[in-house]
Amino acid sequence: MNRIFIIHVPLIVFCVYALTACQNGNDNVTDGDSVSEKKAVVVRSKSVLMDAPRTSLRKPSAPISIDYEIIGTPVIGIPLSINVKVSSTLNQPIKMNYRIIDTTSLMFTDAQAQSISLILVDSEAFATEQVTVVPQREGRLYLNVSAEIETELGMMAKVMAIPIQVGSLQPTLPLNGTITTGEDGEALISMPAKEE
Amino acid sequence: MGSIINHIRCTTGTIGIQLLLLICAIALSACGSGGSGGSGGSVAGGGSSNLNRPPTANAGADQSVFELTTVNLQGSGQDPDIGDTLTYQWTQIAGQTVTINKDNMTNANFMGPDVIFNVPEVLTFELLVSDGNVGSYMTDTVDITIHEPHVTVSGNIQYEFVPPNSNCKGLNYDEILIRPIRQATVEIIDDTTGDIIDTTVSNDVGEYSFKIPRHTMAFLRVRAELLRTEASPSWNVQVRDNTANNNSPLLERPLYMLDSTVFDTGNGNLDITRNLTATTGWDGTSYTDVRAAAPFAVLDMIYSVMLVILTEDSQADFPALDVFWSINNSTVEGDGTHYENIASGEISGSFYDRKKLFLLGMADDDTDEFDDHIVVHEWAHYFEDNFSRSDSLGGEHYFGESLDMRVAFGEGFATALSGIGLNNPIYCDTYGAGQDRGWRMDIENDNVGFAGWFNEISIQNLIYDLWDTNNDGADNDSLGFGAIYNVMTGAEVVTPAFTSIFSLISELKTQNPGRDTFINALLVDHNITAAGIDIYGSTETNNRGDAADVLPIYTNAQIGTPFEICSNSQFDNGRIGNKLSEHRYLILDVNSASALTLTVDNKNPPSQPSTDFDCTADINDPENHEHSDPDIVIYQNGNIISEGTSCEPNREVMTSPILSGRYVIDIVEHRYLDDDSPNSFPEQSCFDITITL
Repeated sequence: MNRIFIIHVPLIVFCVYALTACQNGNDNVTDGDSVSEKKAVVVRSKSVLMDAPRTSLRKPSAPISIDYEIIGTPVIGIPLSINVKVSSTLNQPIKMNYRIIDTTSLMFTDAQAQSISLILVDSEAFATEQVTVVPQREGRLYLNVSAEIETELGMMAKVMAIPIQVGSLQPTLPLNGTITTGEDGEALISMPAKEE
Repeated sequence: MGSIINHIRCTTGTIGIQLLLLICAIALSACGSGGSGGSGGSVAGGGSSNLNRPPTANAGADQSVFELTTVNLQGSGQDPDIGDTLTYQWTQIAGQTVTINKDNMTNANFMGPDVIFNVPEVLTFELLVSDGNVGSYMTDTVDITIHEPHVTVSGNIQYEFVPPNSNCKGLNYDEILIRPIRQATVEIIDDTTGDIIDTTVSNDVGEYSFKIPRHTMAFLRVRAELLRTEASPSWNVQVRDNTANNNSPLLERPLYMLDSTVFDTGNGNLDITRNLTATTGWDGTSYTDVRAAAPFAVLDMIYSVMLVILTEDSQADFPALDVFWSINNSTVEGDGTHYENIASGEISGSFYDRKKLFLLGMADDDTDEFDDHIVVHEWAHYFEDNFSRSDSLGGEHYFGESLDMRVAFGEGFATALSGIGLNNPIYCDTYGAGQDRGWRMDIENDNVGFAGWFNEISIQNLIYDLWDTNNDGADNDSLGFGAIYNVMTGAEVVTPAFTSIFSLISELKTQNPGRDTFINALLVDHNITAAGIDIYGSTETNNRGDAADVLPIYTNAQIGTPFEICSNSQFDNGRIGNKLSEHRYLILDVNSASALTLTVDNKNPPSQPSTDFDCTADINDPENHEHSDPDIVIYQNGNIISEGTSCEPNREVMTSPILSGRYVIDIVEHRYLDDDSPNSFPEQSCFDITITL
């Protein structure tokens, strides 16, 4: 939560409204469904689009919050700093791990540590760590962050992928199979079986 | 074989009629024989030895034959009288008309007609045998069933399941398990036409079987679907890809299928075995191939927990559930334009929302398809939403946090049900590069944070201990799942209070009066006040270490009597809005039906609106996020009756519809769930509340 937008917030809100209108609500989880009225709780009353996802029932996670702030505009070949902000309700050291899955799209600078331990001065306060990466191509690139903390239950972790949009190139999402249609036009994604 | 009955003429004499009838019956019984073909015929001759006796007729055994082949009718006849000459006549009496060759011979034949596949046709023929005397003949019939030739295609369908390493330190690809794909829809499809030849459902060990035409180029297709709609119990679970065809409506995104290669069904002389496995796509170091196992692993976890529900209600009808899993579903929280962007897979985490379940699947980031407790945890939200009642606010939550009691209960119940449904208390969440990291929690024993009615871990421990038969500490008994199920699907649905551990336990105690000692001991063990517990938690004394604005859990509101209440974000460091003390609850009894005016004024507003400020004029005005903004929601038995959620700064005034009876009311400072409210906004907001006629 609490991403810090480098773009002006009102503009984002406007864009969200506009995009949603364009998409006819295709990605609204209520699409095509009979929505229980009682779900329209107060949290949706003001800024509906921003608050709506919060009413989803999420899997539990470690007692860690991760926020981030991208400093400046991502450009190919230019080091890009990202402030990663971490907090926890537990006053324990937090081990931060930074990874790049596709190293052809994004690289760490030579000086960038990929694992670091943070000690929170105050359990309510954020600790900020700056990570520097270098975009290698246009598109939507990801920096993977995991924060691990020792609790009474043992180690727990919070995972977040930070998207870095370089240029305006929209990502082509890979498919897990082949798109096809069924007898009645139903959309299907065909996956091959191992046979014996 | 057709039966033959010899008709015997009985005469009367000095023997009584009743005795005669008895003898006749015995004789008939002795002479008769079973068979499908009926027989008949005329009775001829007299009853004495010098009278002619009729012949017998036998049309032969019933046959089942392929279409377009020559079918032989093999009859016979016998006559007890020496010198009689028998004649034969075959006649068709039912079915598609055919031409009988040699129809006056004992052995006749005909060409089997062309029939439709899987629609066999029965032709019936009668053989009449006569001995040449007037009226002295016997008949018999035979049924010939004509089939289109078929071949049996059968086998097993299964998927690879990747278990976690010990202590949940990542997935263990060296110990992949093979599990049956149970109750999935299996189709066999004509590859030439694309038509579905037949459909079946795999059984609980993954077996399927089809009978299909010969000489057909066909392939098998296993749908990632549990579908049973014709009778109770019923269900409809489908696993789809939310990021494919992502311009189409969500429910029209593609359904996952496991396809075989095309094969020729041959000439029907040999049955065909096709065993299919949905594989992980793992090559030893990474996912390099299609991850076909994932959707079926998810489907099977859901089926497993559905079976637990079916043990309590064998006729349960499960409302349709759509599951969305994608290799692009990542932990990205979005940047405003991609906030929980389902089409791009930036869903942040696995979640359930209104009959839809979204699961992470991005490799090297966080995948949940083999983390069975997470899948069942999310499914448990579906259960609570559809079989019981969920008043949970949802939203992000961390283990050990002090949560709004509705959230704590919903999440605690979901995790407990994951342990119960999987019969495994070790909750495991894997993630990381190569899925090599992970963490675990023992649902039965672990605890973290401040224990109590607001801690989801306390709730999950408590519910799991109510169920399990493993004695440890205060957990020395078991109510079983049935007791929990009965309350969750009964009293909990209509409780006038918010759904919480208090509403569950109060009713459990009512329905299980002999188990008070056990239940009370568990409550005390989890720092929940047992004495006098009711659905509102009226006697609760755990105020989370003397934290402000935690107790009482509900405040009794009186019409015409002003009172003060405070909303407090002390446990929320992320403007999530679902933590303990942010939402404050009221109980309101309206004894005579009337509309009410509710006014909530901030006692000490941190800021005043600027001149001419209109919160409705411009949603982009930053001032929208600066001022206190109390909200009111009125509920009755879990249903929202009325809301006061205007954006007016520092106060809320609402007029209700006509009310009568008991209501619970939620009062909250909206800034505590507003991402864009300033950090300087006060942690506590206190309100003067008046309710007037």
